[in-house]
Amino acid sequence: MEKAFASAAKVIEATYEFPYLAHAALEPLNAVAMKTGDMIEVWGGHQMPDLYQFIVSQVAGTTPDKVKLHVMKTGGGFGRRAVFDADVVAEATAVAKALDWKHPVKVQWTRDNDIKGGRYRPAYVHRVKAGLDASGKLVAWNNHIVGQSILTGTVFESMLVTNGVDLTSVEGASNIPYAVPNMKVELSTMEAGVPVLWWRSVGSTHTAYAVESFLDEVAEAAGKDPVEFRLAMLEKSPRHAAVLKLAAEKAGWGNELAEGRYRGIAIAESFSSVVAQVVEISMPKGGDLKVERVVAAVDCGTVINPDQVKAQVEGGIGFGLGAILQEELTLTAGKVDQENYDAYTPLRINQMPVVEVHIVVTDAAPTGIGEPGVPPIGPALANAVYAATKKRVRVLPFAKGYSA
Amino acid sequence: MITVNINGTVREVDADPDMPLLWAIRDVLAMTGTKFGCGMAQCGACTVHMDGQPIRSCQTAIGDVGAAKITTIEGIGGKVAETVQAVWAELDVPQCGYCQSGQIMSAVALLSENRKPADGDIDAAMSGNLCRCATYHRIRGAIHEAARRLEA
Ligand code: FES
Ligand code: FES
Repeated sequence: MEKAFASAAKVIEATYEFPYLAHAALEPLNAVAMKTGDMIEVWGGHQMPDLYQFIVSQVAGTTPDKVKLHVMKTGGGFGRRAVFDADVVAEATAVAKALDWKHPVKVQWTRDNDIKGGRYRPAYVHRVKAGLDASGKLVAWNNHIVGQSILTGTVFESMLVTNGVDLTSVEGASNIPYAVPNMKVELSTMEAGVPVLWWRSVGSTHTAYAVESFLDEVAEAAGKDPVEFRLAMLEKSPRHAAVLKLAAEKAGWGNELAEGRYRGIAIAESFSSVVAQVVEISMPKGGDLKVERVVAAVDCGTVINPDQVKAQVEGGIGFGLGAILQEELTLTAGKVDQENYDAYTPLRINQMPVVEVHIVVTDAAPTGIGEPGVPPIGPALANAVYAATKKRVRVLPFAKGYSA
Repeated sequence: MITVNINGTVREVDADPDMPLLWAIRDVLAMTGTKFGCGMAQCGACTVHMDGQPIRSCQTAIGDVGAAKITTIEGIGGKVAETVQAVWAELDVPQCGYCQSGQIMSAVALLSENRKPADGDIDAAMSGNLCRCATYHRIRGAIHEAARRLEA
């Protein structure tokens, strides 16, 4: 690795910073608990019912067969309702028990409870370093990730944390599809008192940004077109190559753009699906950035309901875009600074681009689609902004200003 | 007892006059189509009509409603509302659905005033309605489609 960098004709390096993010689901957390006969009944948007049934039985001091969960239709949780200690569910149960089960108890968090109540996408820092040979080929790649572990200390630790490496900290970085002869991905897991949780698309919320926006810098350093540069390294990843080509073709990559319009592209695999996006922005000199259009290509295996695939990618783009542009959860002296949507600001309709989704036709086994629309939007946008401003955005969100 | 005209019926509400209309609708009158998202006029999930105008019911005290006519998602009707609801279903706008009664209330109010809203009008009328699922692309499309059908 060190040798590869030492003999490289060109070495470039960049650091990326990602903030804590809140799920800020529109339906604040809630649950109802009561006892009927010897059964404990709990209503809620239970995303992990088996685990919640067990936790409720522990809190209530009974056995799981005496716990009946009512799994309700629920507002989108984006990860927040799949929580390892069943927080609001356990809370409703504990309160009902403290009242000797005399009353049904409904717990309804307010918006500020929800935003200040923890379980955030962790903050991360990435340092990425690339070495190019004299012909502009990427010969060495080093990505060092620093952040809190989501799964250490949870029931998922034994499944998804190996030798101290939390898979969710490195997914999307440790498995990049590109053929790079020398590659090293490192993780430093930090401890902090901030409770963290998965957030739609999990590790790929940050890894895709670092990898795909840095790759654009590498392509530029190599003097190559970003699509051509990626394709040359995707010979052994035909699925990725096909998705990238489809997005580029449908978006008219390479065609001339109208005055004041710029493009960027990125591709990411998450939940075993591959999504590429071409973002088109307008950015008049001295004016505001507007995301005009996103063309997405998707390979999620066999598709049963194409409209649902499209809807999830449209929504994933809007969800991801809000975070990249303007969402940030900060703490001052250990207290969360934001408490409502005036300060924690998801995307609104006036910021939503036109979205086109193209689906690769395949009879391969179906793969995820709820999350994979999210990861590429950030780096694709960053690459478009670079095309407009010649500035790389390395500190998120964009609202902090476009330079580090 | 506070008397309110809601969805065309006069109802007696046993509540403190300071209670937000939202909670009177949901918890006292047991109509749960109107949603709570922020309690601070930031999300639009609680949107209802007061004399046809969209208002945030989390910001209106039940004691201040007076003789005004309140319409909730359970009570809307007429050509505009029916068209909006039909298009919403056809284009599969909702995802989790939590914000959608508020979205529909705002969209019906917009189309009742402006039969041919441009994108800028949609932004102005709808940007107070958050959708965390970001169904915005389809909301915009559905409003345009409803406008086309209402014209026909
Ligand atoms: S609950 Fe009234 S605007 Fe959010
Ligand atoms: S459809 Fe889920 S919040 Fe709008």
